Amino acid sequence: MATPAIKGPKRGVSIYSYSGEWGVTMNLEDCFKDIYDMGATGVEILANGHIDNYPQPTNEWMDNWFRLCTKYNITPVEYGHWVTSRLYRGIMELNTEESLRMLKQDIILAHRLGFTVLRTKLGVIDWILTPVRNWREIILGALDLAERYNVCMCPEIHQPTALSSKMVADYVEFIDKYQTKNFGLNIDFGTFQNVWSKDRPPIPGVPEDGSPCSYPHELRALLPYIHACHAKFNNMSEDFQETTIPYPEIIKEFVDGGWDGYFLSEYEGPHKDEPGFVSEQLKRQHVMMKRILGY
Amino acid sequence: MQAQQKPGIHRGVSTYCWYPLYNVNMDLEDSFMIMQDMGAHGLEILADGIIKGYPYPSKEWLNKWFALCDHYEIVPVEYGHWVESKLFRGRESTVEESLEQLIHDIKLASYMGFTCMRTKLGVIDGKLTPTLIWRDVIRKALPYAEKYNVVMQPEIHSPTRLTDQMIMDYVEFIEKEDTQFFGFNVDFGTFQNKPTPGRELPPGFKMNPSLPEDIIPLLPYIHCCHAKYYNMSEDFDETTIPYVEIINIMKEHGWNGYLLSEYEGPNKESYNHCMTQVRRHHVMLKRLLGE
Amino acid sequence: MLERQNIQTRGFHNVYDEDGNAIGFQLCFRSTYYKGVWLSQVRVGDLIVDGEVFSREDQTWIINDVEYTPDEMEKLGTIHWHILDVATIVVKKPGGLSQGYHDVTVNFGTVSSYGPARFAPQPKDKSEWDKPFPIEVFSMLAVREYHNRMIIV
Repeated sequence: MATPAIKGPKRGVSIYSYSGEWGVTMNLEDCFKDIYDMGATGVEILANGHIDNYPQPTNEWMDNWFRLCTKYNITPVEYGHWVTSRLYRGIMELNTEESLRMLKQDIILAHRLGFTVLRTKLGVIDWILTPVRNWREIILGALDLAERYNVCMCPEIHQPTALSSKMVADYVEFIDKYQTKNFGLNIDFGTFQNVWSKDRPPIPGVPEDGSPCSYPHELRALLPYIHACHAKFNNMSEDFQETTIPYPEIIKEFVDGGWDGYFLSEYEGPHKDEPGFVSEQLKRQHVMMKRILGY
Repeated sequence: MQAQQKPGIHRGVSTYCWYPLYNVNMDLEDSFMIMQDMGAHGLEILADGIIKGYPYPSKEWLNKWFALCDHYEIVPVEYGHWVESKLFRGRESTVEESLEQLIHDIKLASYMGFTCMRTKLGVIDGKLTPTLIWRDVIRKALPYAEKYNVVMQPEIHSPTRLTDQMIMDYVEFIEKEDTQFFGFNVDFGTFQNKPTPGRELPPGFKMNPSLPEDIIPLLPYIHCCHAKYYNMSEDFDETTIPYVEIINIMKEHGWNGYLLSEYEGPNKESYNHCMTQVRRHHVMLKRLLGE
Repeated sequence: MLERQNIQTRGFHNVYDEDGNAIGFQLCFRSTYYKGVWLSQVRVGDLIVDGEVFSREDQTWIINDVEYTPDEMEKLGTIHWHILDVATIVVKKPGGLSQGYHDVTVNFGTVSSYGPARFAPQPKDKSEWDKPFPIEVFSMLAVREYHNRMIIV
């Protein structure tokens, strides 16, 4: 698989964007064709959504996966998966041992499919997305395996979580303490959203005065810890502007900081199940990113 | 629910019903599921649209075909195909070129389990008069049809009426050749006597349908029919074609064969529309047939 | 392939015993969520046809050719229900459903770990937002109604 030579932010797409058409009017190859049309070279899949017969894909499925990656020149970038904490009725937080069973299974499968980053979704315990209390034990228990398989586990920093929050500080402290390259962050650009629909109901943890959860300049200190981003978008206008998230400022931070990695498009707006709608939104977003990045 | 083998009128479906959504959000197995839901076991396919790799399907595809027919209790009834007369620029296909196509389709249809073919001949005018060489082509194909046990049938389709000269020509040919391997498929659109909602005729134009009783003398030559429908109401009535009279006549005269649903109404491309229409159609047919 | 809505029109028919007597009906149901779930996370509620209620005890769910009761599913944390796999819900009803239209409601939900409970009401009192969730939020309130109007032939 050809890895693009560019050092810097690269463009990719999360198959999550297509969830309204998935299996109804689009399959994996249709998504890859679309991504290829955009000149994007990276992909995120959601293991629990996009791998047939997950967590035991057939050899046939695996062969087709590699065939598609080669044919459409797509690099497997990020493997989305869940450490499901509420697996059984009446249990809030799955014990560390069983959580590790799930996590290790995904590390191995991600590696077999060629991924290098995992979007590791930990269970949460409250409305503002505080992770399960045993997250340190879970991650610590998987670090050796992640190192052996050369993958980096990344929780997603997602609205309403702020870059300046204690949650992010805790993750950074953990990474520094263990000096690990196998745990990091995925930043979802929704945290920078600064335009909202009128009369939106209160979202737990999001400032009520309309200001964003985070500001682009707060990225600077975090760049070394970020291994992939969700290029979240809600609305691309016909003239290729994202109307709710300050993309030019965000991208400038990554470029100026010499960051190397993938922006993976994640469409979160309406009309997801209208055939062709998301494709067009994605193409508009990639025109925008291409113009800002210059490639 | 067993596939019916006993004499009488049986229900089936043509895959033509859902072609705009075929392979968009439904495939062959989905068609079969719907037929199983309705207890309609007879199937018409359009060969070049349904058979992957037509005219040379892979062994793999054929194995899947047989497995699906078996699983969903599908009876392959009619194999829709075309004898292309306008294959080369500037001239009509020769008898030999036509035969080559036709014989290959006879063999493939038979292998796939079909007993009838909807044999679409090239036409030479707006009244759908068939190519002038049709007698030659069909006559030379008859030994193959007999050997492979399939009946070739042109479709009698509106604006052709059951009393037209074309029909007389077909009957004369069948009698003269004394064959059971050529007949015709009557498309019920020929009986349409009320306009399809939204497709009213321009002023000055009149409908000129066949009458239900016109079918009586032709019944011995008909091996299956296109149960054409344009508009099924919420209370399970076809509003444009006199189904009650047609079915009663066919029942009274002891006709045996399959009625294959063919939807020709509006909104074919909207999701679920055709599937709803076909289910309504089969509620009506089931009631008329006394199932 | 899939139909867009949760309750598929394809696969809706009566089911028969060996003697040809209708003993119930079946319908096909898919999750329209963007990820699959482990079977233990599935919550099955009442299935309602024209006002007639069939409780979870009257239903079995067939997923990947294996038939489960709702109780059995809740104990299976290692079997994954993929979003492209359609479940067949089989419902006991002697005589089956009558010919014609039926209004069908499926009550179904899944438990999610990684965010606030789906469909759970957001607490009005903001001081609740950073308090651990009460456990019943996840076992009781995740079920939601899905409708379709379909024809038995």
